[in-house]
Amino acid sequence: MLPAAEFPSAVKGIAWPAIPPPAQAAIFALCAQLEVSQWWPADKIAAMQLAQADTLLQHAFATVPFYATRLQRRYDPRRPLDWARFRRLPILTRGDIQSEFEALHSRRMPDDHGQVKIARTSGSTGSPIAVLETGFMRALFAAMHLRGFVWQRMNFAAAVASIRVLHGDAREETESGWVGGIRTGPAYAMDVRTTIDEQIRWLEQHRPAYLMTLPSNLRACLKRLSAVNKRLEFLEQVHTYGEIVDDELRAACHRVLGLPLIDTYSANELGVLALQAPGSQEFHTADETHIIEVLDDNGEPCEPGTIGRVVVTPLHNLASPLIRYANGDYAEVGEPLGDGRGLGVLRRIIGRTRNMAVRPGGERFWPAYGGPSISRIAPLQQVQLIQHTETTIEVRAVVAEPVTQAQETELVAFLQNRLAYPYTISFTYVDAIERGHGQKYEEFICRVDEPAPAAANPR
Amino acid sequence: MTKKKSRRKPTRTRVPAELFRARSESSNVVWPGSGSANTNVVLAFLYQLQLSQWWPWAELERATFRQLHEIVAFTADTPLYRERLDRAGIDPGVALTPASWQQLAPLRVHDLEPFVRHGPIAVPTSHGPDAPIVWRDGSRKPALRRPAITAFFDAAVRMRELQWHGRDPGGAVVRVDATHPGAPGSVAGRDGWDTALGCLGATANRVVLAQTESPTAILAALRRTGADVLECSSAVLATLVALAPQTKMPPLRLVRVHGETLDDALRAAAATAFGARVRFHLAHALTGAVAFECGEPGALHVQAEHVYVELVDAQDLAVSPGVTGRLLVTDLHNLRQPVPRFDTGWSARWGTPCACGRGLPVLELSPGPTA
Repeated sequence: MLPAAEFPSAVKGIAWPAIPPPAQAAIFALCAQLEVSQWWPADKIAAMQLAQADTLLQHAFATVPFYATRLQRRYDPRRPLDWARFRRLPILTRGDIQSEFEALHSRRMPDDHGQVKIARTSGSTGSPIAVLETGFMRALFAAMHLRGFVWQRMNFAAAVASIRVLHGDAREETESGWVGGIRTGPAYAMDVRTTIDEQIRWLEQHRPAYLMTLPSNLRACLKRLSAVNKRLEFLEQVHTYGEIVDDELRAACHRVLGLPLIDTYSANELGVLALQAPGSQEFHTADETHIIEVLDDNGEPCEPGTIGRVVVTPLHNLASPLIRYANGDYAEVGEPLGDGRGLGVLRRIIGRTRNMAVRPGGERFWPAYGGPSISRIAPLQQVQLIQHTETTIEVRAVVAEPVTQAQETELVAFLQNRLAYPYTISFTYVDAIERGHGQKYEEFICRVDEPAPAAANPR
Repeated sequence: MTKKKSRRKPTRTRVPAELFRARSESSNVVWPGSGSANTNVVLAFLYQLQLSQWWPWAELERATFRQLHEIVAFTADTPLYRERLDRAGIDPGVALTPASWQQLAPLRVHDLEPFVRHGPIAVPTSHGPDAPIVWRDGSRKPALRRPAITAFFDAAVRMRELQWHGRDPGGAVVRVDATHPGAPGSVAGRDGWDTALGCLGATANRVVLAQTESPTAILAALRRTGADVLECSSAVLATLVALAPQTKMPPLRLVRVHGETLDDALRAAAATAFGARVRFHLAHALTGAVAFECGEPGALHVQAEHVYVELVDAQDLAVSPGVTGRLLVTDLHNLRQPVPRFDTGWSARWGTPCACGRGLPVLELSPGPTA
């Protein structure tokens, strides 16, 4: 059963089905198209993507100084686009966006895409960027979010609690709804910088059906709930976004709350990139709004089961086109889910280059060391690993009580074993581990120089 | 020097035909379409139908009674309607329930004369200009009207039908229509399948022929246009199927039979003659679409977002599942000249839930006696 939704009507005497006001109708019109296109075969979706990408490229080449230069002799607007030509286009880096902010703006932005605004990343990678976005893009983001709510069978009449960054001095906010244009239950929000005990008390007070928060904050909540043996039985779903979700967090959510975790892969500068598929832990890519490539070290598309870097082309950003943008994330490609949808599949989002460990010789890998597990060895409340050189790692930790020499020795052995290399490991005990911009938390930070991005496919 | 008007460049990469793609009004947007205000309203409405078709009946009924209450509240200031509401004990200030609605006496054709004499009620201009209701049976013609907004709702559920049937927007359609005003042999409407939905993705031609057209002329039109869909009444279909033994029939993908009945023998014969799926569409002059079949033949889904269908016994009370009753229909959105609980003269019983999983109630039309 799909969720019942009450759409307020703009026409007197017509309550149901509603005739929504224009701004909401524009979003629901997109939803209607997405509702159908998700069931198209993959080749039809690809054909539609190519048609939209062709239009975007022509616009970018003709009106965006950066691309007029970058694509010279690499792109001929007189020739129809095909996938081989698309995949030969050069990769755009975060550095390009930072250094070429002005040159990436269209000089002839059509005036029928709505208001143009600046979207900034929260800068969890340490290098915040800004791009332009249009009103039409915001409508697409809203439609894609709504797809996620419908996929997860969310009850629109229920209350949502979101623990996130609130602007200004506000610690709490209450809004009348959580989806524009649909009558919903209340939306409660609390600042993520409040203490975990405050957050739990606040949740118990409002008793929402749905909780939305950052994975690191959820991890802290679950740890505390487990310690005080609380279950928050009123919760029906837990949603996360903005950081990497690992299997351990999913398991903890299930163990402590009895609920599966539902994650959304999104980025401020790009919108929603992938939504967790209904009844699955894997993700369907937002193919109607983005071309999402996962490429290996040679710039070739990864096969299912392999990990590569994510390269994204938002199909409707005419204000500052980002063509084949390597956003710094890595993901594992999934097999088709067999749910009838023709959308692409990501098995998991792994993280960023900056969150990868490196071995002597430069080999990079994912440091799946089982972060929270090490608190069973020593009384560590919060942990962050920082790799300073190819052979040294600093463990920064907030502790409940002093860590003994024996515990440190055991921790070193544990980490060397999990990371499969005898790193020199040091310990620093701190009062708190600061989060990055946007209150995002990184468990592993590699400060060894990142490799330059692989060149575009040389074919 | 004259200034050249800038024109949007057409995209060179082929865009597949798609029924549910808004004709984009934003520059450099091919897909998903960013439509005009009207297109967005159509698609926003269709989105609600995409969701509500899966609701359980309890949820659909709750929403239906919100809309029926709008009719009650809107007509309560009109003496003709107020008198009927008072007789039924319906208080427009109180939420309407199925039990209170059932107290409203059904209306038969001969009961409509006072409504005709009274004429339409003033409605907000947003309901659009009204048009006369065209009855298919020339023997009974109460001159009633309905506003354009009801035609919009009717077109939207027909759009749903196209989606249910997996219709190819690139395929041509031949429709034989009793309400087509042209003389035999005339052809109307080469503007896509449906002008009410013309704002959506381009569709191939629809040729409309008069009901009085000869069977050979209809077959000729099918061959000439290469149509893959035929829309006609069961009476017309019977005349075409009768030609099958001595005529090579054009192959079709779908035969959509509209009207009030389709028997199993004709369905089977048509399926064989045209090598096509045959699907039934139940419609009434007062409302347009009432119910139609999804992919499962025989599962006639009530279009609950457009009409309220009741099956009642001799005391005008709801029949139990499996019991045949008289079919009453109410257009949920005709506030201009509402005809609440119109007795269609048809009989039917509630069918078992369809295997497709939709919550829209299933009707089984019945020629037998009513409860």
